[in-house]
Amino acid sequence: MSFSISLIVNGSPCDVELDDPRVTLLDLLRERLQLTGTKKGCDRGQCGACTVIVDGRRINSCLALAVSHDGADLLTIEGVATGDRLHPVQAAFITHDGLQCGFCTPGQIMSAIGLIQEGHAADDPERVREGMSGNLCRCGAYAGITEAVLDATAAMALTDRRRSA
Amino acid sequence: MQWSAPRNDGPSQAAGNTTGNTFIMSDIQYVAPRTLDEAIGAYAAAGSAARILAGGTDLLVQMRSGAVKPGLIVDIKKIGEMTAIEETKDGGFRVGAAVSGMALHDHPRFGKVWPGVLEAINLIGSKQVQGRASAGGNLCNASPAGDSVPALVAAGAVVTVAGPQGRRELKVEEVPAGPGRTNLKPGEIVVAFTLLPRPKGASDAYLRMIPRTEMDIAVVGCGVNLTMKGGVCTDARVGLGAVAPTVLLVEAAAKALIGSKLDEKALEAAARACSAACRPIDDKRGTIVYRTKVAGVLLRRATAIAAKRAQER
Amino acid sequence: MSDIRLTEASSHMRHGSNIGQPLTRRDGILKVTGQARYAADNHVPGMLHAVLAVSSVARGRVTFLDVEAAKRHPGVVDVMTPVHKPRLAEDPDAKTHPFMFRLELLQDDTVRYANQAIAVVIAETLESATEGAALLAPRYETQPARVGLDGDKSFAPPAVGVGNPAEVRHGDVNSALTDASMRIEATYETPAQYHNAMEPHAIVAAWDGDTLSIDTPSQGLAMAQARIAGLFGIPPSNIHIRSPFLGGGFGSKGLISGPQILGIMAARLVGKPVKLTLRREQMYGPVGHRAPTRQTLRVGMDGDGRLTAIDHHARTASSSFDDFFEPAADASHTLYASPAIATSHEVVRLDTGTPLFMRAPGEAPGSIALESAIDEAAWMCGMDPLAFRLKNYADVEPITGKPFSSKALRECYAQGAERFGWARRPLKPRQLRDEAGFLVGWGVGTATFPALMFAADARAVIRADGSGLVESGAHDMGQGAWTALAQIAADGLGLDLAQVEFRAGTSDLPDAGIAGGSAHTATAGMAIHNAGAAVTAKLADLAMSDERSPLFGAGNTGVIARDGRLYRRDDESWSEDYADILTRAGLAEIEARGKGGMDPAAQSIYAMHAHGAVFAEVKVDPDLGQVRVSRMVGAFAAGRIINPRLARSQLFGGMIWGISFALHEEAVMDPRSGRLLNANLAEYHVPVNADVPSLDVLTVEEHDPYVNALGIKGVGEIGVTGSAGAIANAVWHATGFRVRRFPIRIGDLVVPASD
Repeated sequence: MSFSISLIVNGSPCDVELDDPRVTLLDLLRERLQLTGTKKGCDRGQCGACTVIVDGRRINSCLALAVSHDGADLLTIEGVATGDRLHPVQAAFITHDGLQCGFCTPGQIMSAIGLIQEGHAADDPERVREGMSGNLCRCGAYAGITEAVLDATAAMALTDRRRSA
Repeated sequence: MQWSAPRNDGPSQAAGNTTGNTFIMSDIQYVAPRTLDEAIGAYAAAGSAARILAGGTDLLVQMRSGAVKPGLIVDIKKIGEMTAIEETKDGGFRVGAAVSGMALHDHPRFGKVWPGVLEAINLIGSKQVQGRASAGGNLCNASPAGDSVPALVAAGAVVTVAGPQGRRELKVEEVPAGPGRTNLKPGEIVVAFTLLPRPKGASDAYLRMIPRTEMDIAVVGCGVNLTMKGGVCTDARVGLGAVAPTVLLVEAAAKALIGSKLDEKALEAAARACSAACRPIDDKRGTIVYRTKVAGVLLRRATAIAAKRAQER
Repeated sequence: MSDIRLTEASSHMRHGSNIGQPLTRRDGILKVTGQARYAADNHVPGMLHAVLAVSSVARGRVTFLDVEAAKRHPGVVDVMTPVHKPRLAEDPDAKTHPFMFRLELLQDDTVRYANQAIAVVIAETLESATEGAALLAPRYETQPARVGLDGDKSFAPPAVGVGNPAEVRHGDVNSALTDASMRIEATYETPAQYHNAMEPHAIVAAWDGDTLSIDTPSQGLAMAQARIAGLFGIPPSNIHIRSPFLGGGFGSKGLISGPQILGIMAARLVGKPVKLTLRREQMYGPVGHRAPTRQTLRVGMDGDGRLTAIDHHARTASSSFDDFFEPAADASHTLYASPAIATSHEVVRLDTGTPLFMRAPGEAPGSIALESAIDEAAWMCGMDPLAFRLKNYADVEPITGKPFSSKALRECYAQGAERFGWARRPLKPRQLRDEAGFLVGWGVGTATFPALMFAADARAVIRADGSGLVESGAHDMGQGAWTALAQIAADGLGLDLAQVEFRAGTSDLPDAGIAGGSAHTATAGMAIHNAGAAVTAKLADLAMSDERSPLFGAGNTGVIARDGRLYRRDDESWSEDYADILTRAGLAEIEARGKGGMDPAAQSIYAMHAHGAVFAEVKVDPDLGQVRVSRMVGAFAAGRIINPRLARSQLFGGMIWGISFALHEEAVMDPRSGRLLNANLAEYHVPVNADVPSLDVLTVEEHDPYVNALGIKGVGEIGVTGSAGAIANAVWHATGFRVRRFPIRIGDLVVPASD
């Protein structure tokens, strides 16, 4: 017996036949849709490596059952850049070396995009640190991550202002 | 999820016949009913093997560790009443049990009226967890350290539960029975929290102590809800978490504050009442002596914040 | 590897040399777009999923597994157990060289530690394999577990670390202590710690007859290849391991672990490719950890604040079945001038997995104890802790009397102190408060790590189009090998980075040695440098012996390789393009090999270490005992810095490990069951972003002609040392409480233990 759900993944409609209700969004992405940019670090919502944006909010995809997400709109790390043009958060992570091994990086970037959308951190490093604390980095790239988020927030705000001007 | 062993209390076939999304496998079922009645029907019929899925941030962890093997998962997020935030005409709030912390955070008015409740709910796990986790789930998980509970206790929130025998209302502090256990009857589901309208000069605050700066479980948590009139405290409620098998309503602390100008003597008495109410355990995150002392410290600090907010309101 | 598309750094500002440029990571775009492929991201057609079933007891025997129940579960293909597994060519308990550790490969029903693999379930989906493993419902015959440093009788180990003597004596410590005008004796405890790389160990293994294709993270490809070859009785050349990116290693991926081998066995058993990924909780056992230590320091001083004796004794633990002894006391060998120094170790055997190298093995726990003791000694002498360290500055290595190959520690102290504002520090503790009423404290710690070299090979090629290729099977676990080694490669070939193809991260390339001991950039870098020098020398020979070349006859003065051309050293107006030389010679390419390794002659003369000084400020809530590190300044002298941007990240990372060591991480063992109580990332605390303040790193210039021709000392581990002690000392300075059991707990600062 299987169950079909429809998702929008990185802007494209995606119909999935699920043969098992235990499949999480994370395992669906990684093992069935071959979108392996989203990482599994703990599978318990404790590390943030699996962060994706679902219906506009950042969540831990390891704590979400795929079957309960019929109709959801997912944004994963694979859908963040526009062709070869990096998202400002991605570019800032490279410039500020907000990564080392890179394993937590997709989750950090999705979380940063979520944080910036939430609009509460702005230019306050303390709030960025707090807002990014659901994403562990064992290499210790936090200094670069915080700089990158601040920098990207400023760059995106500038672009928005230019657009609206 | 016992595939080969016989099951004592597995879900009945009725569970699979509800409308809405249904998923049946040989021994694990998933339903996402559209109405509360359907949810109660499915949940009650499945008996103790059923689990409610709200945000899933506790349930999936428990399933992963093998602590829970549900025969039926009842997803309540498709039920309108469970995910709605309603502001009543008189200024009260009714918050669906499955409303996520982020959704509550984004509500334009809630945080202004109940800043302490909101800050407590927004301390559950990481921001990503808050995108999913709900106060209803936090309450039903029945951890003595659940962050939202002391604040809801202090707020005097009333919990609406619904089950096969109909609806009833409980005080928040009546829901937990002990670590991991609740006083809900078989088949009962937490539907919503009701927060009464509050007078001018009333506000609340929640503080917790954790060793790590973020992403941690409270060693002690303290919620304080105050009404101030002309510099005098006319009403108060105090909730304490992580210092006993269940979250405590500390009436003696409230009594010490009421009628006072929150002077040193009243604060000292309230802090002592908090420390006296503690029946904590020693564990790797905090000792008995530490928790007992810190309960009093947090009471003082949360009271100061709540009083300041009350003045500004 | 051709399937790894690296990018040129946009901020590449070239001033004649690639080395020393703060390039951004060449694998940066792959990593920020999710395209960097880690082991578990691989999908091989027909691949099955394997999940470990692990022991829930620490010592005993498995008496029952419900294999039938697991096999009946839909999707389960097979269950590998001690009685149903492929034959191995070698006993997993055999030890034929010192880098060989015993592995638990289902050789019998014995349980040596909690979380040991006791079966492997192989299924069509991850969910089925996971449920199958749960259905095994094992039963055990349990023996009492040996837990904690007093859990068993201790003994003197034959050696510690990798072949270090367990006891070292210099001068007469006991009489020096007796004669000292002041002395302290203090015992410090450090907990068991687990590496917890963000990437769980994973393997995708596919057999084709007797050849084996593997994706798995490795800090030592050639050693992994040799280990697998021995176990399965096949030639190493039949095994191809790809490890282009490691999601962190920190030592735990230095040697191939039991679970990775079990993945290969599972693939052999079912005759299909298999993916096996450890669950986070399964990483607390079979993939190494840092053993707990209890260290006693006895320090003697004369009336003038000079050290007269350091006696550093460490008690630590290994597993019941193998030897790795954390060389914690060795930290006292090199830092402080004392006429008498003694270090010694004693060990116990516990029912845990075998401990292993973990970022700064020995140095990290040794440093926090030594730096705390030095601070305690300074206070007893009434001296500023930095002044005390300067007073006892070692101009030669204390334990051997050898001169240092280079040592810019004085400059580190001076520049770090200046940046931090150390001069304003009150001598007494509990003097500073911030505007919020928090207690503020300042502490210093000295950082040190040996400048090691292992052995590596590389191959360099210059092609007829003038471009270059450099190959060495190096490992990028986040330190930036893809970038830093490519910078060395480009300079070695006299080419711009854009003209050099650099291949790494796979076992079919020349052996780059092990990525450990902060020695990878130096070792693989020297192999690459030498290969480049060798191939340009060949090219020069070709040109100088060719009458048609403008460089003909330049043999006596020699040539310089730069920007894709060879120049006469004495007259640079004479030069020739690489492409022209090769084209004229009718060669498609020219190649040479190079080696990297230590220079035993230099090592016999000089002591070789990197050094640093770390200054930390903490704020302590006086009522709650909550500690926040509010700022840190680290000044490090680590020889030549290949890429300042990446080196800064490495040093930051080390300093954050220091914060973690002092304030956060600790594995808590249940004394009754021998199981870990916090085998998850919610309860095994590592710092989150909010725990890390603004950090400041200075790299102090240091030219070291002796460590290696490139002058590289390594920056991967030194940041941990010094930092942890600086924080502990700052906590004392803030509160007046000297906590000697790490991590420092909130309760220690509110209701202090009797001092």
